[in-house]
Amino acid sequence: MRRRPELSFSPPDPTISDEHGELSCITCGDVAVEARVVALDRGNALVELSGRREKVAVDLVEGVAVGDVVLCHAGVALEKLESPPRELESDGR
Amino acid sequence: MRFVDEYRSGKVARELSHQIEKLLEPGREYKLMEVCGGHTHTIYKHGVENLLPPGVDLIHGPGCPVCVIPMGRVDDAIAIAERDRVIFTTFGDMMRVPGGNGCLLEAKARGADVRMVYSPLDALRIARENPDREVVFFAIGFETTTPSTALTLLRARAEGIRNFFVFANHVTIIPAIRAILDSPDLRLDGFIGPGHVSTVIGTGPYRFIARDHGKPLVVAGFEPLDVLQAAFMVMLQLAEGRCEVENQYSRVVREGGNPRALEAIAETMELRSTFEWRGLGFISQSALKLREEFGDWDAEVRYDIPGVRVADPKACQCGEVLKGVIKPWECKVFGTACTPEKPIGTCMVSSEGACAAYYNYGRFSRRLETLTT
Repeated sequence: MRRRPELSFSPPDPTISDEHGELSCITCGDVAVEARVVALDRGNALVELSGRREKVAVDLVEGVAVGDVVLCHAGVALEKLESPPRELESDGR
Repeated sequence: MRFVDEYRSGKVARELSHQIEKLLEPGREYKLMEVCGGHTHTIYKHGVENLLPPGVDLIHGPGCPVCVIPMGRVDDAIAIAERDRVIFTTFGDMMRVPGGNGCLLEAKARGADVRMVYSPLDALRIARENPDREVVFFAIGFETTTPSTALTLLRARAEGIRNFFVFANHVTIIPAIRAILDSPDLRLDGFIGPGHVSTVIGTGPYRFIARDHGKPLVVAGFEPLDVLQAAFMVMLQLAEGRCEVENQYSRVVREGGNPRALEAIAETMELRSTFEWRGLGFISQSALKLREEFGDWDAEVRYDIPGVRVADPKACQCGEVLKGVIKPWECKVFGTACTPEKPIGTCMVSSEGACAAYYNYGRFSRRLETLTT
């Protein structure tokens, strides 16, 4: 069975490859990922990308609602996308 | 593949490449710097460099936060990590960055409690769960990462967690760009600006580059077509004799950045008078420390930090790589004594580092080039 890709704001060890065999290190570089909010709870959001869910803090983004796509980095949402990519409208891959 | 195809279309890439070629002035050499390590990674991973016509050269900038941490700060981190009762938390790629006395991974092997976290909020959780221990977070990164540390400090204060400390090493991108522009050994025509840093700071802070230095800057996203389009936009400005700050990454980056994130940073941190950058030396007002009000959470207040300055190994040319004076493969130890498995210099540690990006992808693309010509 194909392994689901890791959410990249959970940075893997730089020596670990992702499912495409690519080295990925998202720890602290200027890299963040877009994920959809599926639930909200007092400053935190449960976000989902490709079926995997993680908790991120949304204190720094105004007016986050369920269904929004947010840009996440190091466990914190940094921005809300104004027009999310079409691909995120559907249910993952 | 869904989710990425629209930013990776080969057809669009070839069209952009063709349009860039049409903008070239015969005989002129163009040097564009991508400031951000994330862009360097994209460029090598996807072979963007091979899509640019001859005469357009990409220079890799200092925007990999791991790469600019001086060895002395790693030694300071190890000194904190080896104290009794301390749980030292860090992002994964800082584990292998060599200091003068080895790296954090080696400190862990010697018995220090060093743990990898994905977010400073995870470090705060560890502090909450271990009230009899002192949990220190090794805070590094540019403005993309600083808000997460700021938010964590605000939460620590709100919850009254007193066994959590931040060892602050956050740096700011603008003074680094300024240092590069003032560097006498480099001639640049324009910049591809960082994408996610700009999500936080906006596009306004770059204006001096266009206004005072006469160089165009285009803030770019991280897919290969983002970078290629940004290169095209810089080239178009040069061809039309303009120098402006433009935003290719408007799907995320706003002109004013993220005011809430900027407020959180301003509330918890302030500029240091000076900070050492690997390869660039001491740059004034280029890094952040915790404000006095957050002294209870400041590792530099809590612990006696050795603060010894350690010179880079002689063989290592990270400094020249970070300033774009030499290409990674021109370094004497590249790929031989210095590899991602056993790095000498920081540029080989993080995959955002120019050397690691080149090591992992550059050779492959060069081989492809040979095969197709």
